[in-house]
Amino acid sequence: MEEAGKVHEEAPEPPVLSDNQVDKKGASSFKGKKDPTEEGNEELKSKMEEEKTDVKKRIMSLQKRLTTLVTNIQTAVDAKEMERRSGMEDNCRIREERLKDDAKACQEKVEEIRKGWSIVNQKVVHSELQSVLDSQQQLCAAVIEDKKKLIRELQWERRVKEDEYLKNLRRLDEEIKLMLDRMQQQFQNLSKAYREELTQLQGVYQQEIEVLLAKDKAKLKEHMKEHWDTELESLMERRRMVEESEKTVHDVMLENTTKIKLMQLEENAKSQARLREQQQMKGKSVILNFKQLEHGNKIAAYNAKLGEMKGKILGSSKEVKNLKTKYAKQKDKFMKQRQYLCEVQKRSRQHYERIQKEVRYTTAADARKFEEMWVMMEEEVTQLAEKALAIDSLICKHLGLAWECPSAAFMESPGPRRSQEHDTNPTSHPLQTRYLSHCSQRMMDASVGPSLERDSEHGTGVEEGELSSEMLMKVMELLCDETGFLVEDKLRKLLAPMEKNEQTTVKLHSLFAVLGLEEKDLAKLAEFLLMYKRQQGEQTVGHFVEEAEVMENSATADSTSRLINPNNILPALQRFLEQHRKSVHERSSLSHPARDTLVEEAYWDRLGNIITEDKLKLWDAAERELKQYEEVLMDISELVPETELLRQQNTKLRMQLQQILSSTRSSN
Amino acid sequence: ININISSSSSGNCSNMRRIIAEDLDWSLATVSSLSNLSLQCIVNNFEERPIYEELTSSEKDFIQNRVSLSLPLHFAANVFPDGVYWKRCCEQKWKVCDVSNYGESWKRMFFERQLENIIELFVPGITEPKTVLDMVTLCKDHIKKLNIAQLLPPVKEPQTEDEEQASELTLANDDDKSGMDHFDFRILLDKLTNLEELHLVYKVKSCGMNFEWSMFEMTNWDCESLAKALKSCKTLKLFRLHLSHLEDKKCRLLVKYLLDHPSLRTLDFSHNVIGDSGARAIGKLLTKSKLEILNLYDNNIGGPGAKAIAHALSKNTTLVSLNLCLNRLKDEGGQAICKALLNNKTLLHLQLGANGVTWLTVLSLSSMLAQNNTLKSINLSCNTLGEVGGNALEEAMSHNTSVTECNIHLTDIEEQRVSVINQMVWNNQFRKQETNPREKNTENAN
Repeated sequence: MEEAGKVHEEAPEPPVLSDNQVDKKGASSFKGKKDPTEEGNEELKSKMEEEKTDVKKRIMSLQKRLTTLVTNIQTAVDAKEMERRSGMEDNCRIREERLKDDAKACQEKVEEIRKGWSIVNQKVVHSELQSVLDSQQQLCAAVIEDKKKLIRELQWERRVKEDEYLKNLRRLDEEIKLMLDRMQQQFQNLSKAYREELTQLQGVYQQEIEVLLAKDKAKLKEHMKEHWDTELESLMERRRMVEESEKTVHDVMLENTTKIKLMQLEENAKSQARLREQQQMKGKSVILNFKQLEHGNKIAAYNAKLGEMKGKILGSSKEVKNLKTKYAKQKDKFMKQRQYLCEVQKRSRQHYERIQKEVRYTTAADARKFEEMWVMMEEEVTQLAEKALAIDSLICKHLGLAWECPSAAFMESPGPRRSQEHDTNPTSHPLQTRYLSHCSQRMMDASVGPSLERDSEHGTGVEEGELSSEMLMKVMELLCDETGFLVEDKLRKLLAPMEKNEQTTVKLHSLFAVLGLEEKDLAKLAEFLLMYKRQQGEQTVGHFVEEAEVMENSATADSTSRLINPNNILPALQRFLEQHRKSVHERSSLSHPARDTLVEEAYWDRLGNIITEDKLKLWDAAERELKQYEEVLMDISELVPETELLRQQNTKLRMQLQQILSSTRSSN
Repeated sequence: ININISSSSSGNCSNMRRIIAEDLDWSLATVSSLSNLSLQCIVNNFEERPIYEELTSSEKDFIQNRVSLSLPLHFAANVFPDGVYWKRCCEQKWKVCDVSNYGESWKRMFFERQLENIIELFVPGITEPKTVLDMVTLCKDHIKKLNIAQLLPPVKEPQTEDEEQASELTLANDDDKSGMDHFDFRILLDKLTNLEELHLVYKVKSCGMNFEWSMFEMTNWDCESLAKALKSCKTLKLFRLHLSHLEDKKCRLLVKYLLDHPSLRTLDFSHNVIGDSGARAIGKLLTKSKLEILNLYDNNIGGPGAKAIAHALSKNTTLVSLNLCLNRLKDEGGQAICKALLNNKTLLHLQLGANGVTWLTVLSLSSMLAQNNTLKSINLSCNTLGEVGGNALEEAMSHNTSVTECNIHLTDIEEQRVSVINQMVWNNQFRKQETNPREKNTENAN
């Protein structure tokens, strides 16, 4: 392109360059291009011969060769340009000279013409003037001719130059093509060299890789060998094992086959027997067939009957349907009735509950009234007693006897009912009071054994907690063992695989269900059983109260160690049940706390006997005496007015005497 | 969107489970994983909802590989860093894509070539400058190099012959402002904050029969605007203006504005028509700036210009490479430069090819080579040095160890001598590359 640009510049210049120069230029350019490559090749060859082994050097030289080639091309182009320039300069110079010459010639001619003009001015004669003018004209024409000639020449040169330029362009095109080819070759050469180097390097690396591979392979083989050895060993072991197991399997198979054969033989015998039986059966069946044929005739007759029967059945089925519908209706009706009745029943139950509430309320009210009445009476009685005692004391005093007060404790203790009412501590006090009653009660049924009340009392008391669950379990186990006859056989079978604890609990449940006891009675029962045992042992001892107290204290301590005699359990259980039933009965009958009739009796007795028989006798005697005394006194009192009257008469008389005396005296 | 995906994919799963029971050929490999499905969904809706930054690198690759290339550029430029997406963009747009020319960055390549295309197709007066500015705002951070291979002149209004003549008469040549001015670089260069290289050619590609000389040169106004633009671009390292018919006047103008440029290292005015006065200006530039490479290949510099450059060279301490090939230095300039190099210890490459120098210059060169041990490459090709010059050069090279390249083709020196000189240069090169004793031995033997 650059060349092209330069050539463009060339174009407008006047065409002065000769063919010869251009040819030379082209030749020189080719020469310039060819020579360096040859040189480079030679250089390369020599280098190659010298240092064939050294790849690096070779590549370097190759590169150098290539670069020199490029620079050579450039220098060639430069040279061409130089020549072109010098040629251009020459052309310019020649042209300038020519122009100068031309200008000089022109000048001369112009001078001549000028001179001519001066002659023209001098000449006056027409003919002369004409000739001079003609010559002038000729001169001018010559000048013009010269100029035209020059112009023509220059134009011709330009045309030649243009042709040359075109040729030059073509040549340049060819050269460029050539250069392209050469560049292609260069590329190929370079790439070839690189490829060779690459192959060489590849060879080296291949070798290395092969060596490494061989090493690795050897290693791998070793490892594999080890691995295979171990594998083989294990395989051998396995084979041995397999053989052993095969042998055993074979033995087992043999045994099995013999067994199977024996069984087959037996089976064969059996099947033969069965076949025989079958044949017998067949014989029988043939006979039966005959019989059946006979029956068949009969059946035909029956079939006819059956048709009739079917008709009947159809009718009856209709009836059944009707009945069913009826039944459904009835059912609806009854359902309705039932609902109605249910409502009625609900209502009546509500009514009943209301009544019950009322009853409860009324009973409570009655009880309260009764209590109040009772209390009032007690107060009255005590007042009366006090009065009696006061009277007694008066009497004694009157009689001059020493009055001794009945026991202070008794006097101080209030009545049982009042004490209950005035009680501020409802848990502790009843215990005391009840305790008293218990004492008496226990005295009564001491031979019977410990009462259930007491048990229940203790059950609710402090001791229940102390009765350890362990103990309880033990007792329960015992109970279960002893009363095993009450448990059903089925249940016992079912329980057999279970644990002992679970067994006992289940058994207890069934037992309680049989005896009609509840879960909460369990503790009571256990307590009772323990107590009963001890009671049995110490029945002869008299002081039950004390014993009971002692036992209360020692119950927890001792009972753990001593278990109940199993033989005593049944009677104990019996007694417990009796008492339990009784207590349940009582509890159901009495809603309010049980009334202690005995205490009250004693209390009343004591109140009644507060004035003893002796006292009464004394009182009677005293009464008698006092009555007599009263009579005397009455007599006295009757006599008192008389005496009073007499006294008054006496006084009056005295007064009269005095007056008389005084009068007399005066008279005197 | 994500919820939709999960529901659909779970639906897929249940379907698949059913299919397993019925279809023995079914394999799990045909089902893409849930993450892939969701990524695909992101790809499909990327324009409305770009989710990119929070993804892992492999997921980013996935998205760059799948996203459609029709995304608006201003959107994609901000989202995607350099990567597969830009590679796809480039390969879609251009057949040949050599990413090694663009610092292995596909994004840079895309933006640079895009901007170059826009500028090369910019027609002053018709194309809106806004199109360029819009592009610049997007890509100003990525562009490091601009290689502009053509600059279109404005479209000429059809003028009648008379008017044309009249205008020629009145306006003459100076005032052609509105006539042929090209793209104004002032709007562009101060915005490209990373620009390092600028290659410019004032020419029109494939103009065909519409050829006019004015298409291949820059106007005065162009020159001034370009000079100001260059001054405003503080990061520029390489400036190349070639094949643009750069005359002395314009060269002086450009150099005037480049005098204090902070970063310029390479200046290339090859294939222009710079004469002596332009060379003088460049000599002044050499003393003031920190140029490292100066290329004045194929210009019109004669002896006086070369003397000016030589004078600057004797004081300069930065220049590494000087190319004066294809000028008209003659012996006057060549000797001046060779003498200047006696005092210069930085220049490595000197090219004096095709300058019409003779053995006179070689004499001063060989005396310089005897002292100077920094020069690495010399180019004296296409000069008629003759026998005397060859002798002098051989003599000088036998004492020198630093020169590793010496181009003396087409200098009328004998073939044998040329090969000897080449051999010496070759040995120098080897010695430099491998300080191997064996090499030395072979060299001595030679």
